[in-house]
Amino acid sequence: MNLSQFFDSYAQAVYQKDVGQMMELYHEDVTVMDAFDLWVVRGKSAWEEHVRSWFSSLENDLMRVSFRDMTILSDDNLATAYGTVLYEPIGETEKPPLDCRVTFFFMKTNQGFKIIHEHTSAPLGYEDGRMMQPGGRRFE
Amino acid sequence: MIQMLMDNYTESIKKRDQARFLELYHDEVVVNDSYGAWSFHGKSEWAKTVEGWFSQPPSESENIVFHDYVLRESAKLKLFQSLVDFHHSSGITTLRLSWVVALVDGKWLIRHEHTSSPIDMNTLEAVTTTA
Repeated sequence: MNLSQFFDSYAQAVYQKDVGQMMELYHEDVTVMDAFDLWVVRGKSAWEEHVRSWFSSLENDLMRVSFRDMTILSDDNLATAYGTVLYEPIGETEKPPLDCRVTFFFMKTNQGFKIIHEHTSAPLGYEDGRMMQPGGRRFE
Repeated sequence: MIQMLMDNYTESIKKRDQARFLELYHDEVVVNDSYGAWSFHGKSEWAKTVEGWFSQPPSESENIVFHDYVLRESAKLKLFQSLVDFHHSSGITTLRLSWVVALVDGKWLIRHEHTSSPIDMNTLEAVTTTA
């Protein structure tokens, strides 16, 4: 994978709920710190199970993904990208859009850069301990 | 080098040594902290939050333990991920941490920090399970 294509590839894989295309972005030894429920998912096969379950949970809805304020740093063997990602459900769903902070680590392989680490999260409010969204927007 | 970074991070927090702590960071650092704000852009913005944090006196039991960490290194980047236990007077708070450490003028500095707790999808609060 070429880094300049990464964001489009990720968004397209999610929009098409294409598990195969999605998993092509990941390294066998990936560790994912996901925003919800799990501390760390270790290994591509465990992450694939999680992605499959996420795509199934969307049912007839689609999920539009857009990245913003991304910083990209790279050298010959490693790369990183960090910023904000917006997950925007489309369809009959009443689920609200969700912003997450995202950090990707990439490692160069024979097939180009692959995600070796992913960390998505939202901060918690000091006063109520609840998940925050940018600009004071509530997720509900 | 990464051991030195972990040690400097830990010791400067325990001693509330703000100057030593901020020396670890790049001027253009982006910090995604686990609490209170979406992100901090630049060392001076981060310094204001650190000032508030360091104004709280340390407890005797305070300690910071990195575990389950992985480091990937190349010529200009060190990519580090870890679980971190913050021991304090009321118990232990575990956070997930990712660091991007970049080589700038011969010095390795934290260019990006991301700490978080996973969130329970039902309550929208931090999960209560342990890491």
